[in-house]
Amino acid sequence: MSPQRLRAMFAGGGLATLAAVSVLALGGGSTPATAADRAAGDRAASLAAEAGPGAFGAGKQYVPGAAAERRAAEHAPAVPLPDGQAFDDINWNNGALSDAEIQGLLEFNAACRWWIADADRPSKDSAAVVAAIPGWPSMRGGDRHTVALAFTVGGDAKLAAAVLASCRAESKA
Amino acid sequence: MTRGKPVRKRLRRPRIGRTTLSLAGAALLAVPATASANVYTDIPDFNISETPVTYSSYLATSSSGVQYRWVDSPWKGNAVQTASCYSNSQYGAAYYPPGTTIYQGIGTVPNGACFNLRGWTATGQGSMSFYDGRLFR
Repeated sequence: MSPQRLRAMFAGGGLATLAAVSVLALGGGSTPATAADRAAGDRAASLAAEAGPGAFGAGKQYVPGAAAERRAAEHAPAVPLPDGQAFDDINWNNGALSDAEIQGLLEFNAACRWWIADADRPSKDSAAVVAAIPGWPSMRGGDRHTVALAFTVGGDAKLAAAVLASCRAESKA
Repeated sequence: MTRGKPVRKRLRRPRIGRTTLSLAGAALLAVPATASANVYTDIPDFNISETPVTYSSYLATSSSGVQYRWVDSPWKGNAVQTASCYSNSQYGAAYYPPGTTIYQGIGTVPNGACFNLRGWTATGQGSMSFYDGRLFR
């Protein structure tokens, strides 16, 4: 399959996500959206439209510490976080990391923070981001996808509660 | 003795059956929401090198600890690790000498937490490809 065709497929997925975001934005929310939240919703949808990062172990490896952290800083602007939060609790010293692994860490870390934010201070825009998370590159398959879907409308509430509890525990650690 | 009577008796549902069913139903309802069970997951072609490689991410389905074994006897010393999908911090790891195919604990991962399964060969050993393993989580 050509790169152009792949990109077109992901762009289609992005449009679907944008449509879902728009539908959610029309629904009833409990907290007024801030400009930062709205920007996060747009970035969440854009991220869902990006091509996948490839296999976890493939590609260039970044040595632990500063090199991995610098590479993460390049990826980070594409991954939205709730207002005022930062990627300040990721351990960049636990072995070498590939681009896909770095992206996966940033996205799961951000996802946890959005799941917590949406549980504690639900808004139309946090709901829009949570709805877009299953489409993020590292969340499109396997258990990560199952977990992300649990937080969407009609998802597995029991699984979402267990994951949310682990996110809360890790974010406080 | 008539022909129909014993048949009717056999078809009648015993009273204890109904009670047992009710008790079983009540017991099912009483199971806490966080109840979970361990599962086995095949890990085909876990290709590792001296640089740590993430195979995939998994959800811990209980808090009893994650274990891993090589199904194909490894011919190189290697280590397998569980690391948090959230923070990349290590939950645990185990060293597998060449030829080791027994289960070993590779971390206590809380129920509901996502972990990355990572592996690498010992320094100077090079890579090891197409070896299968099994995860208990």
